[in-house]
Amino acid sequence: MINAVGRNIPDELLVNGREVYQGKNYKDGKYVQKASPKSRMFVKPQEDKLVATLKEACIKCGAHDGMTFSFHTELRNGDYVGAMAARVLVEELGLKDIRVAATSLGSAQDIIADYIEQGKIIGVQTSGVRGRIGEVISAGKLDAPAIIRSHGGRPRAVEAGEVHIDIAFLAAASSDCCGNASGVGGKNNFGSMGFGTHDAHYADHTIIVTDTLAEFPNLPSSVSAIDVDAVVVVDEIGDAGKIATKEARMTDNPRELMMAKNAARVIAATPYFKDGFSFQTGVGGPSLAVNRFLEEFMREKGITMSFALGGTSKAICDLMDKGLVRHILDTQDFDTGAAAHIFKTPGHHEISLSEYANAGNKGAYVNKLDYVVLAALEIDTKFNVNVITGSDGILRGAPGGHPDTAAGSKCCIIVTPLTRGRMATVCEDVVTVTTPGDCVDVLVTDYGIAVNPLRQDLIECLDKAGIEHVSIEYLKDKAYELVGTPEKLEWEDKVVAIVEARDGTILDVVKKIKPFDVNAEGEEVIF
Amino acid sequence: MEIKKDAVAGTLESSDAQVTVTPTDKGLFVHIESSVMNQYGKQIKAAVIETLKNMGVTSGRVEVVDKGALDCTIKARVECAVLRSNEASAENVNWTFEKTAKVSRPKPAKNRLRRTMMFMNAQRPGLIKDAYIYGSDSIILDLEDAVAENQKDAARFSLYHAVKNIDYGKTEVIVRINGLDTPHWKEDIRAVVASGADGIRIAKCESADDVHAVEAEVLKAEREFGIEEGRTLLMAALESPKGIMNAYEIVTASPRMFGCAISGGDFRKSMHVQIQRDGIEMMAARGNMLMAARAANVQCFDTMWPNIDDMEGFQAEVQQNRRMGFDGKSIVSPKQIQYVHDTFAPTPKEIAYAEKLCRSFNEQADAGVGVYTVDGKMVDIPFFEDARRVIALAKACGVYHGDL
Repeated sequence: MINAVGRNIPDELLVNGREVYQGKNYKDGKYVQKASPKSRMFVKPQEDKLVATLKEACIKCGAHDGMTFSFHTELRNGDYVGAMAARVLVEELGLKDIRVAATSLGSAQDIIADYIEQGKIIGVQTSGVRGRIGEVISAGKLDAPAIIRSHGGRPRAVEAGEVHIDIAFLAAASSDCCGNASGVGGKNNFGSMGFGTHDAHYADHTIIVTDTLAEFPNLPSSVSAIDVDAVVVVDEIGDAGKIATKEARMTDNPRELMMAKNAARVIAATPYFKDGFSFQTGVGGPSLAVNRFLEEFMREKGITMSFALGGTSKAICDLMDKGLVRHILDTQDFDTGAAAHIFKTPGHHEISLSEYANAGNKGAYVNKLDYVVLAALEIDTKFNVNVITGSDGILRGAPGGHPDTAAGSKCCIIVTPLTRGRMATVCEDVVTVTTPGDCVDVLVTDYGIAVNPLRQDLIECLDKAGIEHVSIEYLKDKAYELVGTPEKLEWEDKVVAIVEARDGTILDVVKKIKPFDVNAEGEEVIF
Repeated sequence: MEIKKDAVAGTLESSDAQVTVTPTDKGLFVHIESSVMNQYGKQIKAAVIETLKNMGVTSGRVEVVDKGALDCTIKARVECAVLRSNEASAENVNWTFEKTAKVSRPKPAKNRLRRTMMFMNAQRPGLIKDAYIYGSDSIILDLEDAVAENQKDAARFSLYHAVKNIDYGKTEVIVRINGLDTPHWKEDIRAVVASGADGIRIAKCESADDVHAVEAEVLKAEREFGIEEGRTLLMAALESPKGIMNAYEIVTASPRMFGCAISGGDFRKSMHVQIQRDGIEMMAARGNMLMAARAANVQCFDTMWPNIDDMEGFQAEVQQNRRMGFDGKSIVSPKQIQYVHDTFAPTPKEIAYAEKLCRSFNEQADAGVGVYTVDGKMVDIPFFEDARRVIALAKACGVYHGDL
């Protein structure tokens, strides 16, 4: 069945009430029956919930074949706990048919790729997939397709019972003996635990994994002891030094800086840029660099920001310290500077992914967002964005909050170079739609700015400010002129991943790529 | 043409391709590895085969390891590797193997805005494929210092195919050729002229004879490749005290000459001085060169600021350049463009005064008056000419919004 972004969704996926995507506000006003966890009663007074090993804690929490486990990825590439949990379940307990429901998956959890290949882990639900895990899923090693959900889509699915988490393994920088846990106060501080707090409410069991046992009560805490079954102390929960990965660096690349400056100019030219505006940037080089240029425009106009949302970098903390930002609503910290800022600075708050972006609740912050600046792997002439598959069709990205913030914000700006190597970023049709085009308003590239024709109001603003812009078709043509028109990818029938829209409908599917080798046609040349 | 011995061209850097050729007894074989096989494998192979066909290669094995190179890079690498295997890549190259080049640049203008002239290594495909997007007025593709001695040939192929296939639009494309004391400069000129680039920067120029030598080779190449005679412009880089002393004869040595630039690095060494914050060490040289350029009615450009991270020092130098009367500056990073453009644009005050002069002159001329006063200062014809220059510069810089 063809959905609202023109993608053909195989009928066999449309079972158990599953629908295709029908537009960004299709589910508005509808009701959802929330699922509740099965939770153990701790009636008898006890000294603590400390358990010597993760294996014992798993047994205590009823780990079993066919179970689903979750973990958060606040430690990003430095996370040890996701891999640790998988290893205990598969190798120490010998469980099979395990499903993983993570906030993201990357090279820190490469071991999960092995378990998928061995058939031990048979289900994957995630908001991002990079590294070897993406490759094995793309190679069709899972029987059932992986499910890719946005950061808002994940808590929605958990609340709706579409994902039932048996055990949540939550890394904590510090915890007391009963499970009052925090993202700070230890030796591997990651700051906000907004990726993990929601799981503690909805999982049947929650195990806190920490490397720093704090005195009881470890308050204020992000996860409360009332949701925790066991506390396990390990040597290291991760390497906090690896939180700031290369995606999260502050760029000094002139091309990225040029694009960032233009994005800031677009922001300053639109009517929402007034005292009390709200703002979010993604973690990609050019979008993160927008922070740097925004300050100038804010000072020029004499305005301050009401709140900055989502993933938080030191750049936005600096703006707060200069009195230019009143609140930071923080789901994750992109660098150690931001992780050290939260909880020490009034106005810098931790929020959960549900509060951040869940379309199934009654007040997600994304709906109050004025501007969001985001990256893209590809964007097509319908303004559909792909952030999950490379142009070669292999899973290697993360929607994160991309679809949620694009849909919720008043002005969504995509910043991306026109080409990467020989890949055309601006193209005829994206490989996979992860954010629908009607949620995307402005595209800033190194070759020019394009505004979605749906936003005539923004076009007028740019004209008035003397900011040149072109059509997205012009940018696409320019890209193809430079790199050549790419051959269409060839796919097999097998669906390797389902891309869920934030409301739970199916936005797109990723199929297994048919390998192509031009040498197979024969290497001998005869003129 | 045959593949006579093993040869390699290109690198494994992103946006490049490495081409290896080996002889075979019989038959021609092409093998492609590519990071973009699915989308571009066919096009890469087609580009390789087209190039081999144009060169008349009928036997050998050609292996390409592609890292996302554009077709123009792939063609450049194949041509270079094949000619290297014939030991024929360094001179008397047939620059017109390719029959399907996309770009033919319009005839260059001798007088144009050249506030920024940005250097980049002609051998690096990732740099030159779209260097114009940053908005410098000119780019200088460098065949000289940036290119290693054993890659001089490869850089020429890369340069030729870039200029022939990438639309640099209104950005001027100048090529810095190797010095006249090297074995490279004549072939550099053939490649530049054949490519249709706008002009040549003569490195280490010291006399009118140097200009004449270059001019003769340029004319020869224009005739050889059927390019309009006189089309290829020249500029001189003055890098020694002798060059500075001979500035006037250099800039008047050819009608192709549009200007001169001082090269601070080499010049300071010959003067036994280091770079100074106030520019005192090159003050006399800059002044001498400026006077020569103005006397000859050509443009004059200052040297590049080498320390990219020292924006403060850079800005001070740009300010001084403008106050001294330079037309523009060599730069080495896109980060330096905006400041130069902002600084070289006429200020609103200058524009207002120039406008007033122009208007008053029109009125006075109608009344038949020669010398008169504006704002209490005596003015005459040269004032008017300068005012017209300021208005024209303001228009070119995009900062004039009046109706003159």
